[in-house]
Amino acid sequence: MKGHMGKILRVNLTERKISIIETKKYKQWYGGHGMGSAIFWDLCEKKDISGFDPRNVITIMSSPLTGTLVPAAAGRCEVQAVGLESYPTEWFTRTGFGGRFAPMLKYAGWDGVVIEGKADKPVWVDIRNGDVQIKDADHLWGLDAWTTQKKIWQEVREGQVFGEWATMDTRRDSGRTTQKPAVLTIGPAGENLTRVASLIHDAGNGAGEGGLGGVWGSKNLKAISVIGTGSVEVADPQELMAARMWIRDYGINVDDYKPVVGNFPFAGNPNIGVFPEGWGSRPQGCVGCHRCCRGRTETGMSNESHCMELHYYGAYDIKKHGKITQANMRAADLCQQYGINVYQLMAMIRWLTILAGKGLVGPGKMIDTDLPLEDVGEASFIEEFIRRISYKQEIGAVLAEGLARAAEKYGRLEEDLKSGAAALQYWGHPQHYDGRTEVEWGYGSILGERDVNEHDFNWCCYWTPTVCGLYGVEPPVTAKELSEIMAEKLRPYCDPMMIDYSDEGIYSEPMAKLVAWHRHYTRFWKASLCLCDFAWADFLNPNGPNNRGVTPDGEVRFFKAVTGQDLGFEESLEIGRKMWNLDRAIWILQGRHRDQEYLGEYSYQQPAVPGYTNFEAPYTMTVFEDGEWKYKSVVGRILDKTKFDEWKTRYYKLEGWDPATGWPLRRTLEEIGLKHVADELESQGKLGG
Amino acid sequence: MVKRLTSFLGLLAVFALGIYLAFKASRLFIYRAGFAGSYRYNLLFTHYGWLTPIAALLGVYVGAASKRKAAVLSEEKILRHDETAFLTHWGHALSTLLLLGTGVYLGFLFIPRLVGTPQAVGFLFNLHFVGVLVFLFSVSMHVTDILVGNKLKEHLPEVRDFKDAIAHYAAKFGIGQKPREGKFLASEKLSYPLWIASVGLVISSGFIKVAAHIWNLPAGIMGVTTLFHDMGAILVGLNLLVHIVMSSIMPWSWPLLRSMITGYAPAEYVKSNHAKWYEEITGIAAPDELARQSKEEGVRVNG
Amino acid sequence: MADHEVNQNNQELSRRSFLKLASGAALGVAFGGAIPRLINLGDGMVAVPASGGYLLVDTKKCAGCVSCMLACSLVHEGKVNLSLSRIQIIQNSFEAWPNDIEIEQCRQCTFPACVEACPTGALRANPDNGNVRMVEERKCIGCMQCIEACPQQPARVQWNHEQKHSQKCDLCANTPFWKEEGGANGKQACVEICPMRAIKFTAEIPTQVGDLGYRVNLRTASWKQLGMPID
Repeated sequence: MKGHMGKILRVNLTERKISIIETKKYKQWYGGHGMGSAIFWDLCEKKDISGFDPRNVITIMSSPLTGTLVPAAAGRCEVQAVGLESYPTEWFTRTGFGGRFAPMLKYAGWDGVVIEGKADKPVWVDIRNGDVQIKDADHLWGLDAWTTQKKIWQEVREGQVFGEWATMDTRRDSGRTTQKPAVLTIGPAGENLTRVASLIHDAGNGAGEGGLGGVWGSKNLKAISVIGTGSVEVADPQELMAARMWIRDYGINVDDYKPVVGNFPFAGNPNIGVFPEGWGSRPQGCVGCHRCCRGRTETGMSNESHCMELHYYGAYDIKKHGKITQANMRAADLCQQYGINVYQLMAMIRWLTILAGKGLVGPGKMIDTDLPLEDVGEASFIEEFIRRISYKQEIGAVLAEGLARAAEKYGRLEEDLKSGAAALQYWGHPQHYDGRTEVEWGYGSILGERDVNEHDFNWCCYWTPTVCGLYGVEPPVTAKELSEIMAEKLRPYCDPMMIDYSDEGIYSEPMAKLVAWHRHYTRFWKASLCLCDFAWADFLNPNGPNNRGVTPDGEVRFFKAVTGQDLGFEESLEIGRKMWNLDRAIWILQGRHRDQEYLGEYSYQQPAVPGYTNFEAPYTMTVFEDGEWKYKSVVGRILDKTKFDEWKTRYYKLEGWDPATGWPLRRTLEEIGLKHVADELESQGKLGG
Repeated sequence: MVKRLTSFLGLLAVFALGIYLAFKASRLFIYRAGFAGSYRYNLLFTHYGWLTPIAALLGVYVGAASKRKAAVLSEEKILRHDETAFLTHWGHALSTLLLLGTGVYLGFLFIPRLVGTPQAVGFLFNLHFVGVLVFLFSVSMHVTDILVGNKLKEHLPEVRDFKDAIAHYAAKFGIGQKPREGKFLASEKLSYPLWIASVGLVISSGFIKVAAHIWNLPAGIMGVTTLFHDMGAILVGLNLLVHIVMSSIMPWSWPLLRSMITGYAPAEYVKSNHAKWYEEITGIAAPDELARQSKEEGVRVNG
Repeated sequence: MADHEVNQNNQELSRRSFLKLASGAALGVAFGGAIPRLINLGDGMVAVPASGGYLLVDTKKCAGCVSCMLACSLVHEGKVNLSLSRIQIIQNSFEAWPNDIEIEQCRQCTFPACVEACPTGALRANPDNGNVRMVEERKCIGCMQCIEACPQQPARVQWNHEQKHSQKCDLCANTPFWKEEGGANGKQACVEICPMRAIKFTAEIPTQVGDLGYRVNLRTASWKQLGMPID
């Protein structure tokens, strides 16, 4: 199978030792998440440790498709470790980022990096093709994420002019490059061991969820830099080019743009940043992308930021100034430079604002702080807010623990979860999309370990009908047609009822199938093969024949072109199921039980209305009611806990897990080749059945 | 001895001058004025390629003009390598080392390229050119001398040389008797066709490669030519390796190494190792030959 | 004839004399003929026919996705390698638009320094391919003068460190790993693949002085509709 470079870099920070893991040892896991979980299973013996524990193992993995021409896939990277953000347990978690880091790892000859142990003082890892060195980072520690990268660029390219061909070394045909090193780094938020820190690469690629920035900080790891001049081999170059030309028509034509109302990721617009009016910019895309969703602006502000980095503060900016201003740009840049998770920031500001409305925030009050909440919406506020959290100053010392633990410190968690003031819907992670309305998002998140952040059904079952409703136009397909499209594409289940988000449908067996399909698909294709959430899966595409997108043919076609392997789509979901079960086993070893798996209490108490985030619109979804399909508003829905429990039982049974505990049964694990996992669970008394 | 020293110093002087010119020529200079980033160096192969046939002609001339010397000088030592042999041998040796060294450093076939910058590449190519000139001179001189003096037969192997070579080395381990060998050992004669083949390959392909700097030759031919040049270089390298081991590292050859420098080998050594040649040049049969003859032929010879 | 005999026979003597005379005369002629060359070593600036095709780029439109670089190396080498791409995208994440991205394509110069610098004619204006300046790999001896001669920064000729020869943009005339017909009369992988359509092929000779001939505006009214400037 082509696509693998053959070796994974293993870095032991305690002993400052470099060694190699042969990729073929884990080739059944393909790459990305699957390999990361499998390597974590092997190398991290005690799994119920804190994310700060030096025994924590970090995996940074590419996929066989990384660095090739596979559209909206070739640039991404998957990072895993025991996290810091989730509450109450620090679950083993995942986070991803794009740009050019993972491709550069492959060009340097590496399929990924594994980090173990803890360095005695700050270090950074310098990878130049096969030459890897662990170097002192005293001169980098304390610098923000952008300055760190620029400094490392200078150091790695010392004596060479940017914009010229640079030889790797003088010893042999070592290769030449015009490119700058690709660097992944933490900012002050990670260095100071907050629970809400991210990993930053270039200007705006962020591995944000899970607080892994603090995990790096706890290991005294400041940055990893990589530069490579090698080749990624492709099994069928002609077919890869042909496949790439095939999907061209599925994306938009920037020279002949025909807008369609709705939200179609694969056919989405480039450069979807929210800039002040009149600001010049260009689109900017990760390696190999056909969509190029970010941008760079004429001031350089908010370069490569988009979506959440420009939304988390945008509503406040508009509220304060009547329109988007530089304050929003500054907010985006700050989260990148400090390396801090914007979902947490958004939820915290909302929580503080709500509590301030109750008179609970201010000097000498219950939340004792002098934060100028009246300045929310200004650049000065967000600058101060992020600075305090990153350096654990004043209220920042509490907020650095994440909103859940902060609220708990003030004795407010239970109440605020019930009211929804703390919009933490899944394991202490802030609400992203509402688990009361778009349930596959909520269910998937609670059965997992974090906000899933996988939009596959979100674009077509929620956004498109909602936006069309707001604009007063008909969606490109009827709800019935969409259910038929799904029935075609959601192999092996092929059940149109899977996208029934009606009050009955959300607790049904088809919804269990949807969640299962989603978990398996995303584990394999998105987290392990690293297909980008901003383009895949492509279900509904107005440029496609009969509005049908490239999924599942596209995934399989590109996979075969690069690797040479004939992988059936159903087979790929089975591998995804295997990965999902391995993750499940890890969480179980960390203490997971069905009795813990409930969304934030407000989901069962409060109606679903906009306002829990800065960007949601009232939910219109696909429902099957009274014998017919329609797009219907499900605003105001409250989840029924009993029915949710019944649904969980349905789901567990579908997955082959013990309904009493939520733990996989032995036969489930053995039939997907995880006998050793079953044995381990059994030895700990945590096997289902 | 003076003549030897002079010719060796002459060789060194040629190399020294060559290295200096090769270096100077390889420095970059602004090529296209008005384009500050446009540089070039002087590739000697391109501008001075015409020197290659001249070097060969010079070798022919010197080979034709050189007088060969008699072998016997005294009872203790015998002239094995005269001044002509000295010049051709060391000319060959130094130029081959230079050619192989620059070729390896530039990289070919499976050998990685050690050189880095274009200036270094230019320097090595120019050094290779210097080596080519001296090599062609030496080869032409040797070939002319051989052909003119009808000495080819002496150098080429006969069928019995296979047996003799084995017997020669077996005797060193105490197995069997040393064979009676001529001026050139059986093993040397066996290696001569290998030298002809490998050197012939590099020179003929080399001439085509030099010609490519002047005329536009088809890519297919150049691909094959370069491949033959590379393979020839490997063969020359292997030949050279064996030669150096057998002639300089193995202690039994040290007298010959000395004679390649001074010209003289001890008479005892020649009597013992080149019995046939000793008999030819002195008219005296070697003692063991006397014993053998008396045993086999039953003829009494006056010692 | 053994060489210990001081007196060579007549045959050998006359052979030696003949060869001495002949080679001496040849040397004389050679040196005599060489003297003019020794003095007059000017490079003859032979006019190189203009290329049948050129690549124009819009650096304000480029998204820095490097799909062009991936496609270029893929169709030429059969594998993906940024160092082996004949078009280079150089970007700085922290710079402001439009200074954050440079597209460095080969200009198929009308007066190609690379062609003139090549000692073996490996790099030449190929008459079978619209006079595109391209490298015939088997003739390349690796002297790297073409790379030094290119006046652009970075040099538009690359050193292929895997195959050990120079290479450069050939307008996809020689793409063993692509079904499409390339060259000056065909398609170019980078033009076809660019998702922002920021690379364009033209048969017209661009202005050779400065960048204006090669840096053009390829943004249409669509681009404005997408919210970005078209000037």
